[in-house]
Amino acid sequence: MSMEYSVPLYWRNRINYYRLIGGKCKKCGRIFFPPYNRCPYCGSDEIEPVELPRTGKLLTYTVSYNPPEGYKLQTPLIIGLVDLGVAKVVAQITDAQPDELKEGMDVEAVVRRIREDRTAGLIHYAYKFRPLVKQE
Amino acid sequence: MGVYVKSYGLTKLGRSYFKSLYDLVNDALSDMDDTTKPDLIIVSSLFTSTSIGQLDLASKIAEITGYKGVPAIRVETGETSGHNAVLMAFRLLASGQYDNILLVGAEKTTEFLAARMYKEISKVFDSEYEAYMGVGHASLHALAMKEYMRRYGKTHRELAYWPALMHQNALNNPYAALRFPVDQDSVVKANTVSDPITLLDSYPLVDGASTVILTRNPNSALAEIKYAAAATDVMPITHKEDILDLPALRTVYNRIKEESGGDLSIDIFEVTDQFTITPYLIFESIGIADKGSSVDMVNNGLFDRSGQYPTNVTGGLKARGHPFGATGLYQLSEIAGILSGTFPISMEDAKEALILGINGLGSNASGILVGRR
Amino acid sequence: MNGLLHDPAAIYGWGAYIPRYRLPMKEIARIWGWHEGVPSGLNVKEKSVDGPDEDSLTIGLEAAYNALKRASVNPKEIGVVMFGSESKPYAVKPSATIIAEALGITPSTMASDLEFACRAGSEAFRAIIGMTLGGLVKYGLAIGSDTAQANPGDVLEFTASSGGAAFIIGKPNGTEAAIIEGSYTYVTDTPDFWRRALQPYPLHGEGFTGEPAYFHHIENSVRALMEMLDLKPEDFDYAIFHQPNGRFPLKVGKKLGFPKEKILPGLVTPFIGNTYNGSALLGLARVLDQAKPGQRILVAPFGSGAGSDAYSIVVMEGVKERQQKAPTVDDYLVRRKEVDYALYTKFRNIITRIV
Repeated sequence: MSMEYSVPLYWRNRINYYRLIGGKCKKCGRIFFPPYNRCPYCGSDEIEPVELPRTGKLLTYTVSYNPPEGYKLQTPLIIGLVDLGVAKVVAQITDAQPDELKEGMDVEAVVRRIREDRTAGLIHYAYKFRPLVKQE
Repeated sequence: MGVYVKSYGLTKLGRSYFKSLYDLVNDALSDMDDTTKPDLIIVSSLFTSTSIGQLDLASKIAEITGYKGVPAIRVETGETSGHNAVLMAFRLLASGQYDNILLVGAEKTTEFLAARMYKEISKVFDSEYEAYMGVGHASLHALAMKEYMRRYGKTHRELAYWPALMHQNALNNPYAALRFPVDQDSVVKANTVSDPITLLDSYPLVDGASTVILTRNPNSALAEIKYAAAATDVMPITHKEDILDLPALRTVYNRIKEESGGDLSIDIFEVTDQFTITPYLIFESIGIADKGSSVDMVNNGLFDRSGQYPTNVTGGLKARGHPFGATGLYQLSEIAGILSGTFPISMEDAKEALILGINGLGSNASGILVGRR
Repeated sequence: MNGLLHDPAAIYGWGAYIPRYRLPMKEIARIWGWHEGVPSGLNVKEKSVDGPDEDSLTIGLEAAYNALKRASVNPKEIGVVMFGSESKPYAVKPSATIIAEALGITPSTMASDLEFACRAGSEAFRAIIGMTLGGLVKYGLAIGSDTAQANPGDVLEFTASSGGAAFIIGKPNGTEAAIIEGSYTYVTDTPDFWRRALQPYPLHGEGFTGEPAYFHHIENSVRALMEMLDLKPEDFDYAIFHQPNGRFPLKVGKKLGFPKEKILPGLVTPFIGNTYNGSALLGLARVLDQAKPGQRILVAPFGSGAGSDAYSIVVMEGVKERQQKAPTVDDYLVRRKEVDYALYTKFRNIITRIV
């Protein structure tokens, strides 16, 4: 078999992956990520896409030494919970060694390679976060 | 109209390279030693479409168990699959639509290399936004564990009372995968899986099968299913209001409490302790411990077998093992066995037990209240 | 020379990106048994190395993101995205569409990947000047980016590095950061460096890459441009040449009459190696980071195969408000984490693994 992952599935999510698009509930006003068809808080189905801020705080993180198959090049994989103010995001933390990270530090979104579909399939890109290069 | 556990069967959990999933199911049936013909079979299994490449597993199970012709279905709700199989059987029996239901929980987690299995297991979380990022089963629990330690000022060593207790409890369980004692220091010092979670903070990957017959016939039953409930919560942890809270499980617990007339007197708790942090979240979410206080309660022995809230007296997922689709049925089998005095571990005064299970960090939650006959 | 004078075009935004990892030259010498004098002769201390989750596309995307931040134009007004690289992540499938999608430029836009060794990004730059002046598009995004390959053990390995730069170009409207007052391109069939289809690494003609290739093409393009615009080296405050190593730009500058002081501000190769399609464009980005209104910049990228472009750029008032709107080249230069050769081979996926 030449491919493991669905091409249309990745394609449908690409904008959310590249531009960090969350959902905003028109009824209760809350913003959430990932975007679902219905508000996780009030249940409304009036959800509009909203581009999330690209900088936030690293709430907490974990260094994974035994990640699932397919992430070996990036191991140890750092998984962080990032607070963007309006919503939280779980993502890989990149461009940092574990000892360079601190809870509460400023991080910013970048687009990076997440995984490759075998040797000849698609390269999957998406958001990750890294320590801020330049303080605003 | 009551629903009862008529019989149960178990296999020893571990790496069963010599046995297929079907061999394990047959071994569990032999262990159960009950030829009551079911009028429905409910199979609980998570990974079989990948691990052994079989769909319509339920029909194949019906054939190999000798019940060709009996209707058979499979349920899958992640780590609560077994619990929800029991819930469905309970409701179907209570409504009088069936008389005897055979529950089969079976899982092979050692057919592939561990990293491949970790990838399959990571799908208990949101697959497009969490598993996609390489977030493994341990990693989201690790985020919760770090947040718990930070918020309440608890140390890894204090939390490690739990896995040490589970290894102690498993010593007397012949079906348990890990039957050796560990101390809190060795838990903390073991190889890190996803910090702070170490190998000894985690459940082992095991193969296993459990079979249970639930019936409407009270005669010679081992235990009674007094009530079963389930609820769901948001899937991604970023949709949760608080990653340390399990609202769906609280809903389940409160519903079971209401059904019992507002008063629960639980002699044994049986909870899914996937990782060291999980039982603390469970105790604090259902309210038997205040937020941040369960670690002290556990360290004071309140959850020991001799304590106020004996929990996971057979070793928990931590030391007994976590055979995913079969986990809920292992819990039910062991509890029915303890309450009926047919299990190698006995709790003579125990009359009522509560089984609680969650998937992931609480996206699916279920509870089963079991009473002595 | 038959150069054409054209109307002035404008630079609205510029952006750079350099990965954080650095491989010291002495590490390469240690592994492959080079005499220590070889890297010091190149005037390069260390080279930038892309991380395990980076490629020329992600590098180009971040540079483009920075350019967009500085330009403050509506992405939907960008009508063309051209991505120049010789290390595209896909042999077939445009990187430019992914970049355009990620920046919100799609769907009313042209998008394509260009290949001309190290000057594809510059070809994009010049083509977009024409497209905007001709009224085909309002703004265009030109990107030069590479994670340059080199046969392990080849002298090329000392300098082949990773980085990129991007520019948003349009017609002048008075708010621009700089004016491109003239441009010229000089191209011949000169096979100094190439990579055959499906081959992982390029080959080159050693000394042949110098005199008949680098020097001949750059000297001719720069002389033609100065003649066209009636400018002399003294008219320029900065001169930026393609920088395959730290010596060639100084040498070609000397031949053309540009003193070292005008070349050094735009010379980034000594710190990060040769970023190929990034190279001279990264130099331009660094100069724009610090230039003052009224200053004139000469830029002359070069690509093997072979060709050189020359541009005369005048810095405008609009540069000042843009300089701090995004990380500067120096912000990325100081963000460095040294790696050894082993980590370098892992990050660059040079170790053969079964996946």
